[in-house]
Amino acid sequence: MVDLKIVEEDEKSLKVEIRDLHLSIANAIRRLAISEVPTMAVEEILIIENTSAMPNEVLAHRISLIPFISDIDRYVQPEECTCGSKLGCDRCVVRYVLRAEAKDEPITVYSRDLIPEDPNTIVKPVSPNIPIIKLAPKQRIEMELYVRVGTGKKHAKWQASIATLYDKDGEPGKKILFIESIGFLPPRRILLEAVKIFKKKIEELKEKIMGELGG
Amino acid sequence: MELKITVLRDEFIEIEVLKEDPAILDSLAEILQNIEGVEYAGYMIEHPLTMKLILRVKTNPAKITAREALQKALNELLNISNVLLEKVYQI
Repeated sequence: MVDLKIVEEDEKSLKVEIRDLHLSIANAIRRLAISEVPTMAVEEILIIENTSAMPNEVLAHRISLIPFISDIDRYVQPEECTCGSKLGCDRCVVRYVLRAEAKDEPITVYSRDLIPEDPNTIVKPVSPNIPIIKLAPKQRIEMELYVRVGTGKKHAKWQASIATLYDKDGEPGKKILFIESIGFLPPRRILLEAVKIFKKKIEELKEKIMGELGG
Repeated sequence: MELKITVLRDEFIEIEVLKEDPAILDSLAEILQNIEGVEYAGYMIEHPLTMKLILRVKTNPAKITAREALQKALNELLNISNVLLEKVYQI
């Protein structure tokens, strides 16, 4: 039966040796690790003021691409949340504000300048040093950000990892699954989530097919 | 996932699956192909943008009906995913 062994691991990536598993199942795990593992990123932005050189939509797009360390045990996807509110509740949204102004000197606004509404939240940008925008003297931005859970199939900004599957050199029957995290979640967690999602999908498929076939 | 059975005979079943990753059906097809009596098992992607998949299973009814083959394959696939999840918890 299936055998898994970790051959290489660091905080960003993971190499797992897989034995006695159908190629198609290993490939399904790989695909799910890319497109269906939930992560968190900015989904909605309320722009209060933007006198910078960058148009609103370009600035919003740049901010949306910042990966956030994701707490997927606490937060759920908005469409799965019970609140039914468009703005979201404390189980489906994390609010941030971004305020910056250049006085006499030009400044660069970084991801560390994003201020969470709840100072104790663990949901924060993966790095404090991501440049967002440069402001010339007297330019100002002020906005409210809504960080939500999503998946890579909805938008690539939520893609949890890069995953590849290949044969191990000179050892027939052994495969290597390589998972490199973008930073949202630790690579082990991504693997676990991908397998959980696979199992859930198989259960759903079985239930639906057997239900339709009647028995 | 949305599912509709479009052809249902003893030796042949065709199922339309909507809004699902093709890799899931690929796993099911591979398991089906390894079952004794299954003559054909495969799926096609109608169009990459419509997310509509069509799964087809043809068997030799003297050995196994298509319904039994599907049931067997789904059970086996579920067993494998249970074992896989246990192994992932262990590593």
